[in-house]
Amino acid sequence: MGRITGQTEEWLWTQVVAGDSLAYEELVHRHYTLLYQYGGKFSRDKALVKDCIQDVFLTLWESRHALNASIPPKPYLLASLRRRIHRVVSYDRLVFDAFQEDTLFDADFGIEDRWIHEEETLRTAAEITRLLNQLPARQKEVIYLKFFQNLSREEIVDVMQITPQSVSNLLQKSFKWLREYWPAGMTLPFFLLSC
Amino acid sequence: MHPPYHRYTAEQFLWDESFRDWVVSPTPASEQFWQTWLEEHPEKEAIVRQAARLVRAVQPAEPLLADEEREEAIAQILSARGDTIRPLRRHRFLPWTAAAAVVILLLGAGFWFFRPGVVTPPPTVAFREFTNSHETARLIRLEDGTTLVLQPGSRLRWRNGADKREVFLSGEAFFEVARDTTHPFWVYTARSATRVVGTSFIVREYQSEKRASVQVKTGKVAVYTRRSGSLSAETILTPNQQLVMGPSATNVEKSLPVPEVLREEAPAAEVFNDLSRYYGIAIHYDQETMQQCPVVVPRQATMHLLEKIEAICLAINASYELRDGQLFISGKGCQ
Repeated sequence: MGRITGQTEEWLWTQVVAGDSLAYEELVHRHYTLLYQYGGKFSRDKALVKDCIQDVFLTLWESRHALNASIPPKPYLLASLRRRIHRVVSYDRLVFDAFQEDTLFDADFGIEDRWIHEEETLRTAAEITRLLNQLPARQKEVIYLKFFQNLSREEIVDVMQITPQSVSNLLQKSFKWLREYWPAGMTLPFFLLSC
Repeated sequence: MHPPYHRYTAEQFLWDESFRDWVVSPTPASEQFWQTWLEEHPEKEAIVRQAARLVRAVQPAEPLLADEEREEAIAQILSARGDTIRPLRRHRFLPWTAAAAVVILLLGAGFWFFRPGVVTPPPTVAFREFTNSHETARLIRLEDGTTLVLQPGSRLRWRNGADKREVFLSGEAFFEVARDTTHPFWVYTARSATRVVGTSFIVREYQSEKRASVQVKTGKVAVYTRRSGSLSAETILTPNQQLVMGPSATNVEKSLPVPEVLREEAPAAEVFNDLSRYYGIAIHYDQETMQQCPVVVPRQATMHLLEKIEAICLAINASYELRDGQLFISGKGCQ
């Protein structure tokens, strides 16, 4: 398969916008897993997530002439998928009541224990995942995008369609919560925020 | 200015972006920063190691997506667009070309090699230090393309100087030196200095051992032994020779070659297994998938490890990653 390797995301994107179908194929290959994982946080319906990803890519290709060639592709793709899934799922549910959080995001944090051999580290990891799992949806989503998908604050703004200030607030709330509920007697997590 | 890392707990490191980036996808710059920082704060090593494990271990559960399932979904997207999909092209055969040699230096108990007046490098280019406190060997790639397998309990400092590459070693390491005739590669230990131009060798020094030796498999190296701070005349070693440095005498002896048990044609899984055993490092791959990928390996398999891995991956349309001193191979198989 004529995969394009060693090129930056930005370069690929400009090629896609210019109509290069090889670059488009590479873009699909590179981002499919990420989109599938992210999509899976909104719906457990695998087929629905796949359909939405397909729609995102097809729409992208059809409207490539109208796209901005100088944006990073990752947040664009994540934002498109997020919008699409929310639209589909809320139609499906018919009601999307006002009291509900405005995101369907739900991630389940766990421990890959092949990395940990010491009892103490394992307990720390267990505590962290337990607290992460109790975060409200929007805070979870910000944490997920920032720390587990490596998105910058600006990119999270694009993906979640919220203000930079909201991103900071959500992060701060999350850390405050992690700090407050950290069990006494365990190493004190003195979280600092650089965001 | 960076945050007050010296006051950080493991949990704080866990949520530090710069730290996470270094653990998950290190770059030469981050590697340099954190190695230097650790050198300056050796007392934080345990916390940093714990934090690195936390970074890797705490993960969101991701939905399972089998390779075939993903490929099918991608194919559907691409065909829905109306364009044709190109057929798979595979590279079945890639000759191993580079020359390699193995030198084994077994260095005995004794003095530390940073003794003043012995070999004191001019402080121009910064050293990078690697320590292996794991229980298994770790694979490390240096900036000049040289790879090395660092054995447990070993430590080395390396730098890429203006006219030569230098390594100071305590413990044992297997080097595959990237060829660069203008920058000879030197390995210094308590008892010897070994010069190579572009070849591969193992260097070993544990303080508990009385005997030291240099063993060459293929290629050629020059070894200088040290006594009372000065270097002897060079001894040239050719394949299957070893220089043995005992407590009282130094002799050149015949040594048994180390066989690299590579087969001519074998499933990739078996080749990875051979390489893993030969180099003594962990190579992670999906046994079932890689069992279905035949590769052709000529008998003169004298490429460096990463060149071999790269060639095999290219042949079977897989990719590899060097993480935490171990190799991770991922590929969709060869059906």
